Amino acid sequence: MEKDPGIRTRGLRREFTDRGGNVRVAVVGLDLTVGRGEVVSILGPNGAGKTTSVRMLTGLLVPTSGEASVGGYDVARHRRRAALACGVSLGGDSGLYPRLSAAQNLTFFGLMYGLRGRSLDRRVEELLSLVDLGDRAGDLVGTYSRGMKQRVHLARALLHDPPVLILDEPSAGLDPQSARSMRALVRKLATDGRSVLLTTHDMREAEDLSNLVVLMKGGAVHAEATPAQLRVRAAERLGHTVEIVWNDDVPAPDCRSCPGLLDVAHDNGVTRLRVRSGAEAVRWAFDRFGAQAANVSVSSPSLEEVFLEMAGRP
Amino acid sequence: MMVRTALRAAVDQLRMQGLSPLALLSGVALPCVFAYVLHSYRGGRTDAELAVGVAGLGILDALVVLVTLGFLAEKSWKTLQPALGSPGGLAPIVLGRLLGMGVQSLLSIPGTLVFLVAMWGLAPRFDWPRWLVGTAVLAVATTSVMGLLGFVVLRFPFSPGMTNGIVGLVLSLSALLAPVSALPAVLRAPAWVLPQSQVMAWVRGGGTGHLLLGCLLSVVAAVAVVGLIRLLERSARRQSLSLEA
Amino acid sequence: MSDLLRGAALSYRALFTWLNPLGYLSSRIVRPIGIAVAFTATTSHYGAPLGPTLVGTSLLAGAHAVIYGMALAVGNERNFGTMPIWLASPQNILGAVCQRALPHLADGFVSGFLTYLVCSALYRNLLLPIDVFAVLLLLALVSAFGTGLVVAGLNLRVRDTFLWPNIAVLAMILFSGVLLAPAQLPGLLRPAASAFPLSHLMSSVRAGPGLGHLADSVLAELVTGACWAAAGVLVVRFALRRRPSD
Repeated sequence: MEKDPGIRTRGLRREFTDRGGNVRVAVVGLDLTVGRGEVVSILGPNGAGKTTSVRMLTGLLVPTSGEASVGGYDVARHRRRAALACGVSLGGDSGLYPRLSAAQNLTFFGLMYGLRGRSLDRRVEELLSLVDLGDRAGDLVGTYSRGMKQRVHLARALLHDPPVLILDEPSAGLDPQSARSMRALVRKLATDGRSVLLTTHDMREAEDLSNLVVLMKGGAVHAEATPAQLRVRAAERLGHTVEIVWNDDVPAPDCRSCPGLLDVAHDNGVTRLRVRSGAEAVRWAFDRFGAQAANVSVSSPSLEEVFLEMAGRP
Repeated sequence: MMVRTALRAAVDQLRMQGLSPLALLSGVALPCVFAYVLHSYRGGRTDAELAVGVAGLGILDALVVLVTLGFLAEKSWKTLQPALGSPGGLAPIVLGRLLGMGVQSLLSIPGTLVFLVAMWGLAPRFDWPRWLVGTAVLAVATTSVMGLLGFVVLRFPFSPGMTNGIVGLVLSLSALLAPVSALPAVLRAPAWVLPQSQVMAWVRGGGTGHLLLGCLLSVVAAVAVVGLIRLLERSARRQSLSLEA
Repeated sequence: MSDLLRGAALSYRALFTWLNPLGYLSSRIVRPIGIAVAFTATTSHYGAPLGPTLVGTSLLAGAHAVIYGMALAVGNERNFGTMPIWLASPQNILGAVCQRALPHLADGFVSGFLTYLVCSALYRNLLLPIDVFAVLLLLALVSAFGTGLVVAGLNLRVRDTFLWPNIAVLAMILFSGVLLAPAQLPGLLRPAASAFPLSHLMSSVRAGPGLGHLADSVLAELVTGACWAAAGVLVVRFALRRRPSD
């Protein structure tokens, strides 16, 4: 195992006690490792424990038990060093000072992270051009669109050039083009050797960027694997989807005799079969309807389906 | 429909902020502190002048807090834009909220009286009608004047700083705790423009003309508030004025 | 040094709404003068000596600016949603609160000084020469800084930004000797009054305009301020140990 991974937690647990003395466990024994150059996404429904985990990793919340280190520093015992090793982008409309310009925001945050003098000014300029806001650097952040704020959030997280990044929904609120370039930037940051932890509800983003996906539910890790592995495993439970697009003049034929059929749906000249074995069903479709089908394709469950299956399961 | 919306906004205001600690602190605790200061100098039992003045201070302070924080909250919750898009527009919501805040500030009237009576007892011939009418008209007058504060909060981006001066001016000129004659000479004339100073002059034994003038000035302030809110609506629609900054 | 001032200036610009001519005039000049006029008119009408009240209300104006400023420098972080970022940063939060107090100390001086000048002109009464008043005001600000630190520390935990500064200012109105001489307080509360900022300065001002009286109170006022500052350090540390809410 890597000696000093970017993020490492062992048996991380957080409890909250309400006024009536009732204890609620928000995170149960979280074991997580984000190595250098890796992107790990935490997915989970609301209340799964994602935010509490992030708050513990960023030193905002003391764990009830267990250990967490960022950049090799224990977040409880060496909070400042851990904070210096970590860039956090919580995203959203708030979290920036609306009456400061983007440059002033970054300067102010830079001072918080110990950057000083001209090197700070240079870094601010560099980052604003990196996130493509160089020409709007002097405008008040209060006048920015959500997408522009999102880019300032990322620039702020990168100010002190941290080896670890914790990003919350980095492309939320961005138009498709900006979202794509944001994802490219995150990928490049990881390729440069940073450890990136993402919390997101955007399955495409998670699938696109992550080396590893951690599915959380009820404060505990429900599953942990690469996106491809998660989909393959889900296919064993949920089956594959075979999609048959019929030629224009062909009415959708009866497919109930397909081997291993779990479910069938017809929609607008397309038949979708959910089957145990994709390969077998594709062979069956070609044998039976070779001339009538314009296209036959097979896919394992998407990450979204994996997520929905987990979220829905008691 | 607009009246029902306004009443609903008033009820919601009471439901959301009815017993907030800051409103209680401003509406009851602060005037009681001033009552103690005042009593240290003038002594004696509680008469109508002291009771109305202290209640008036409570109403004013409560409204300052409620109007500023209440409308700032609406801005930050981004609820003004949907209100602007509703059939009745912004006015019923804003005026309803203001009405709710006015009702909420009435807590100062019994709240301060209980304190005054507990501390120093009632004067033998306490003028109940003057107390009742005086506090009621003061509540209406102060709500109308503080509506102007509400307009400033809603109209100007990053406005809380700008509202502070209004509060200082109203507090100094409303003659709640001492008569207008106690003010420096240059401030006496502007003080009579505020309905509160007219009402307090009547409470201190002045003629009914003061009370009527107080009522009239309150109506003028209320009409001005309604007009300004309508103007705000127009600016928001025509000049794309941001209601969220 | 320049980064210290740069951070202080940016915090002021970021977290406060009165950094425009109208807002500043309204917040930092009109409001304190209005409040001072209201206090002075009320107490002088019922027989309090005019001069000490004018001095006291002007000192109070300066102290208010510091206490509210320091409280809002923390509370507004929550309002802008930047509190978690600030607290997650490696910055020394106690040091940052002190750094952010610098503009408010300057504000307090401007506010208190102008209040004294304007109110003295309005009432045609100048109890203390302006240079002596300026020294008193500086002492009052140092002492109010300690109270501001306590309130700022409380605001790390308490969501209602204005609750504690209002309570602090209310207590100062009652106990600092600005509106009431200690003898006018109930017997039990008289010793407590000496623990409040401005109380020692006001005792000297009430004793008479001689500089000899003032010299006696300087040390006592500084000690009072230092005690509040020490309490403030503890409150901030305690609030951070409990991990502040965002």
